[in-house]
Amino acid sequence: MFVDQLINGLVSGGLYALIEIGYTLVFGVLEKLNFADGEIFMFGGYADVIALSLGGDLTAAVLLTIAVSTLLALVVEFVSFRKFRSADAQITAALSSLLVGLILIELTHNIFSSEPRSLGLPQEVYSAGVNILGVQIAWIKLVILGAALVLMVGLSFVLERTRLGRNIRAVSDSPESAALSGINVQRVTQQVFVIASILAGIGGLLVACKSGVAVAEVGLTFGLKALAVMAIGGMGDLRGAVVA
Amino acid sequence: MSAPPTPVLAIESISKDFGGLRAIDNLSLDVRSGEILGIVGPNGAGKSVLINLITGFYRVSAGTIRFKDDEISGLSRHAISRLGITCTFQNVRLFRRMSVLENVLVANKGHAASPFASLFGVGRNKRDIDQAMEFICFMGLSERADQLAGTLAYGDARRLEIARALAGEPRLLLLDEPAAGMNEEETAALIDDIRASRTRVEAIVLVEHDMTLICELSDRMVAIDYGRKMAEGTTEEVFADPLFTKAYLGLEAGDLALENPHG
Repeated sequence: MFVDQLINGLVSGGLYALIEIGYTLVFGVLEKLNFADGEIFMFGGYADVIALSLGGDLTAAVLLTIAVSTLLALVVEFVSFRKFRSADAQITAALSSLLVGLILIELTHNIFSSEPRSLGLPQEVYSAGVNILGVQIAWIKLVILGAALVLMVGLSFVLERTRLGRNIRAVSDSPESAALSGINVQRVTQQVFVIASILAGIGGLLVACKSGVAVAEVGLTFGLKALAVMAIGGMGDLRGAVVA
Repeated sequence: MSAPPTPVLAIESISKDFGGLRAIDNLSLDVRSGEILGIVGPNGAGKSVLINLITGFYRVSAGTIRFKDDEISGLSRHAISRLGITCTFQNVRLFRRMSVLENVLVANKGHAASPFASLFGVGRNKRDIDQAMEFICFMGLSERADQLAGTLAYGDARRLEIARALAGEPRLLLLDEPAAGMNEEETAALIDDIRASRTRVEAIVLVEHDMTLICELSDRMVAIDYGRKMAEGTTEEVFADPLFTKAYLGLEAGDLALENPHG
């Protein structure tokens, strides 16, 4: 089933792109790798579990994911990156974020146990769908594809067309000049972390929806693969992330 | 008022230590309204350190720096910039992956009051662009407005850096060796550009090795060596100072008349 495979490919491509953009954004601006991004991705899935088990719907899950991702982004930036800003401390910062990631995994194990947690979504979510060219495509896949597309187009709009995006690109090109031009480099850095983190969180949420379970280790597997994709797509180049 | 007008920038006995090395040693100087102050000194005299202390890139170890009525020696870099001090770098630092226009737009005033204001509505504001274009035309770069900054020729890159600095509507402009790496022709053009810029700011501080440039432009000169003030006054006074000629040019006072085109 060629079309079926094509759709599956696009769906997982879209998911990788979301987490990928997180890595690339942070790497492009700070030249630092944020390994904790994968775990924020994983938390997106658990935000889903929490929201649904408390009787909320998917909208609640999305809002919770955004809130948790924002919080985690600020924590990770503060703990792992603020103190290690010099170029010599690149590896220290990367390892430190890896450690934060591992702590997050352990935390998840303790709270939710290490077994995959079912979201308890009704079966119809996966079976119901639309018929395109004689191929049955589940709604959930279309939603994922659509969300990934909207987020990526939105991000590129923000980067290219808004003052925030211009400031981010300015900091990425020359932090010294940016500060001299009156840009608060620290604040822009935080904003980059938050944006990257929200994208990863939403990615994690979508993956959890697709597979129906939240898994604590998903950040490691997805995160590492996304890193590989980034290496192919070009380190620090946002277009590369999307193409790849 | 009988008291002299408040200086734009008042540096009061500042020192800066790097580990055991004292880069700036109990240095005081004023930048007066309307002037171009030239700062000269041999390599390693502390000129660039001084610039970095004013812009907040380094912190003073002792002493204070006042800008107008504000003490700025403890402020962050962007806060100092927003008060109205900016500089250009010895080695041009542009936003290389952005267009000439965007480079200037970044420096434009009205640094988004809130993150939301920076996200919505102000994307391609016509007024912002018109303002930015004015600075670009002022530096004669209007034909290159859409070119990537990284692809500019050296002279144009320097001009863009000055345009970007002016776009922030600073009151004090610091130029750190603007003629570094320029040939005579480019330096001559640069002199015209700086002269034109002085009407747009209250004062300019010029740190420079190129004697032609500094003699042409400075109203007053301060010579520093080993982080201390060695001589101060008009160009002629500083050039006549035996301490200066010996330390900086390695000449005895009498020799200078032959070297200095204005002597």
